[in-house]
Amino acid sequence: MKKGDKAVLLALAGLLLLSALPRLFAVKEEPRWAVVYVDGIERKRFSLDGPLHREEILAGEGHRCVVTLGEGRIRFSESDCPDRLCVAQGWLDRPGQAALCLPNRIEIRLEGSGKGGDAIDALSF
Amino acid sequence: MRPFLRPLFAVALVALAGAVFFRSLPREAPIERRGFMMGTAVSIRALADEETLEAAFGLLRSLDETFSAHLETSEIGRVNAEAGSPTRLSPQAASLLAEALAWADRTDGAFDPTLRPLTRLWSGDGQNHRPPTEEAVARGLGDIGWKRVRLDGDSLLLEAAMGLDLGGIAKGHAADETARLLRERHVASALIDLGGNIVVIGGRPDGGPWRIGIQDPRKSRGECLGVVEVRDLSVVSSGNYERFFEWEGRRYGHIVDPSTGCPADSDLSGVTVLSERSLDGDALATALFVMGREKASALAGELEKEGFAFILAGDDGTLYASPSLEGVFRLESKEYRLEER
Amino acid sequence: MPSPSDSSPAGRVLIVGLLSGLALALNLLEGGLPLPAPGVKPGLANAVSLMALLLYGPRIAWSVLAVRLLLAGLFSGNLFAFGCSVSGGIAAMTVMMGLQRLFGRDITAWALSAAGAVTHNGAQLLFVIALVGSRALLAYLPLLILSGLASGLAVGFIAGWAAKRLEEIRGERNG
Repeated sequence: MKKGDKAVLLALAGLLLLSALPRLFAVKEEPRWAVVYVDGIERKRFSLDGPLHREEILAGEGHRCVVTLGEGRIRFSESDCPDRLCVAQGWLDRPGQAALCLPNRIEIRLEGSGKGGDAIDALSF
Repeated sequence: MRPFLRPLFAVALVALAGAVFFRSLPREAPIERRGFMMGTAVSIRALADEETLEAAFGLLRSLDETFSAHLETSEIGRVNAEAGSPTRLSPQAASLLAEALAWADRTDGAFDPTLRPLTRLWSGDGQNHRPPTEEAVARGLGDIGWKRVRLDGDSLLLEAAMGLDLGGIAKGHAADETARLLRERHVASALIDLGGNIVVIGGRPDGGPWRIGIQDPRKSRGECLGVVEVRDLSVVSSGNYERFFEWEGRRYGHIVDPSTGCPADSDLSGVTVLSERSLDGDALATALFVMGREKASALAGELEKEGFAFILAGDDGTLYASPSLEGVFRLESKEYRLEER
Repeated sequence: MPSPSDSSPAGRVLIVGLLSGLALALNLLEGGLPLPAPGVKPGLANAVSLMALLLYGPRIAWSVLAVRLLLAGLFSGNLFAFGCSVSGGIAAMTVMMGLQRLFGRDITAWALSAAGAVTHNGAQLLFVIALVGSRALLAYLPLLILSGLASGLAVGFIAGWAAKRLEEIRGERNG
């Protein structure tokens, strides 16, 4: 094996170890994820762990919503849409729950579909 | 130069052949695509490739643009603007309107596709949602009535000031058309969710039935009262719990009762219809909710003989589920009492 | 019969054209393979970048990369995928070129390719993380390194072999 080959192998092995380290030592449970879709496309993904804090979500044509999240839940807290029904939808804290801001076409959805055996594929409402 | 080219050409040819071959293999992993249409969030999850989903979404978009009563540029918008003079409908619209009128007849007007003059009053245009005046409602009532529609093939005559609103049937129809497209492309497993209007093709990719949760009308979104396990079926639910506004302590839902001109004040809190065609389920879910428990139970009894199945949740905590749902519907909430009709 | 050599402008255009076509074909091929992580692609086209680099040098290699990225981006029409390819392609080329300059003959093709593939994947992941804003996606790094290593090795052997054969042919031709 040539010098360069060894160097590359060493570098890659080191990188592998470094990147795998956090995984090996992490004991924390699965963080809950809230996914934000704008116009149907996933734009942001938030972990619901940690303290409550606000995040801004930008929609098309300069519109925006603000979500408050943390401590396992998330909600629309501010919106520049005319009816603010999104804010009225309140807190989401169960996997599978979703809230929509129709005028701004923003959807927040909690990932997962519920406890293992009781998981549903979709909700009829 | 030529010796260089030969191996390159050979490799290129092999690579291209390989590429074409791999591209043509069906992807077996389920893919999901979401969008915002028809005023709600829609999603399709299927064992299919990107192009098929792209085509399905294209279809949804074009159906939305054709049938939306809110868009002035849609076919319905145009037809409404021409109310009072005879007009021609596209074959699609004519057939959909004919179906809608048939359901209006069957439900004795509880489902009515001519409610635009009223839905426009109650949906409000923007900020301050307030109920319309009694006079406005009375006027609106004078401009509705499915019996006043003259539909002959694709020729339509609406009386002046009338307006079509196919919102109570549009999602169901769109779901049916989308399912048809997917089936034509040999998709064996799919779940189409148009803002809670569900149509499934086959079962889940892992072989089991699709598990569809039924929204508990008295709880927040996502909380189910039970689950139905289905294959190749449509599941549509209705109730005043979805879109509503509050004014001076009263809650006004979005389903208008054609007999009063106001949002339906029903003794049913939620209705779920399981049917082969989503168009039927959509129309029925609205109609049964408006009819109230007694009339709804009667009609449900008749329709059960035609293959339909229902879940009727009363506002007093009683729940009725069609006998054919035995083994299919599982009540999970302890707050409901299962009742015979 | 006079024919363009690889040092004339016409020859360069021909070569860049052929190699870009090859790279694009490989891009198409990738489309049929499963994704190891959201939005990240295997980067088989790196084989072509590497071959171009080894046979014809950095200038032609960068040209091929530029053409491939542009056309693939146009074909797919997806800005997100374009950004991914660009970050991956440029990072991989830079690393491979750097390693080649640094080690010269002291490094074989498979090592270059492995380094390129891993860099390609890593850069794509960083791009996705920057866009989506979620640090947690870093968890995919070990998987990407391994898959980069695997595809890099496979590709490297082939590219290295092809380059050597072509060098020999070139040598034969020049007498």
